Amino acid sequence: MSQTITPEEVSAIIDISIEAIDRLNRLLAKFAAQRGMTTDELIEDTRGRNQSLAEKLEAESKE
Amino acid sequence: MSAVNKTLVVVVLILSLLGTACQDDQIRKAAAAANKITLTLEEIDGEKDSLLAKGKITKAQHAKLAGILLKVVKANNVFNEQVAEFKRQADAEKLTSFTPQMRDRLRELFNQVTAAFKELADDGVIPLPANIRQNLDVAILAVNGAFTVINGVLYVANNHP
Repeated sequence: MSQTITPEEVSAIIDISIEAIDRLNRLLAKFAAQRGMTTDELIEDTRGRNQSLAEKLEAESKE
Repeated sequence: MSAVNKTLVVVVLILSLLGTACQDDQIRKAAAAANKITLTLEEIDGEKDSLLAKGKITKAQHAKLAGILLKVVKANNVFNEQVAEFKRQADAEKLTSFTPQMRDRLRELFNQVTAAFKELADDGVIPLPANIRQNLDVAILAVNGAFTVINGVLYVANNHP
């Protein structure tokens, strides 16, 4: 069975994949930065980020 | 699952495991897993905002995702605070690994994180059209990588004290 896709569809798939890989790369860079942190720094970093994120999401969820 | 997604699963799992391979104590692994989950939730949050800005999701969908995401953040925060408490205890008692009681408590809290995350994936992300959720799928795969690491600490370690 053969399927045909248009050049536009191919282009859209590539764009999405590149964007996904960019996002993954950013995430992996953040993961790599963890290695230089002590356990206490990791805990504190998580605490601060969670607090900021929770405040933002709390507001957005009510919009 | 597409070939790209399969590749990403493998890449994320391998890198997650490599990323913690040099960490020699369970407490650090637990703290690192909580941190990875938070970093990934930030990415999901950014992607959610990006989808709204591009007009690919409605404000209602955006608010729904925010509400579900918030549950994961809160559950992960409780887990992180418990890790912090056990870290203080471990420092005071010179422990290098969790006691069985600590592991039991962390498992209980971690199950709440995974349940909230499952809700995010099932009710927040999967209902979105496949062509707009690929970046969210990637982030979900990354969280699953962190789950693999913490499961190793909380479950496998318990079988081999």
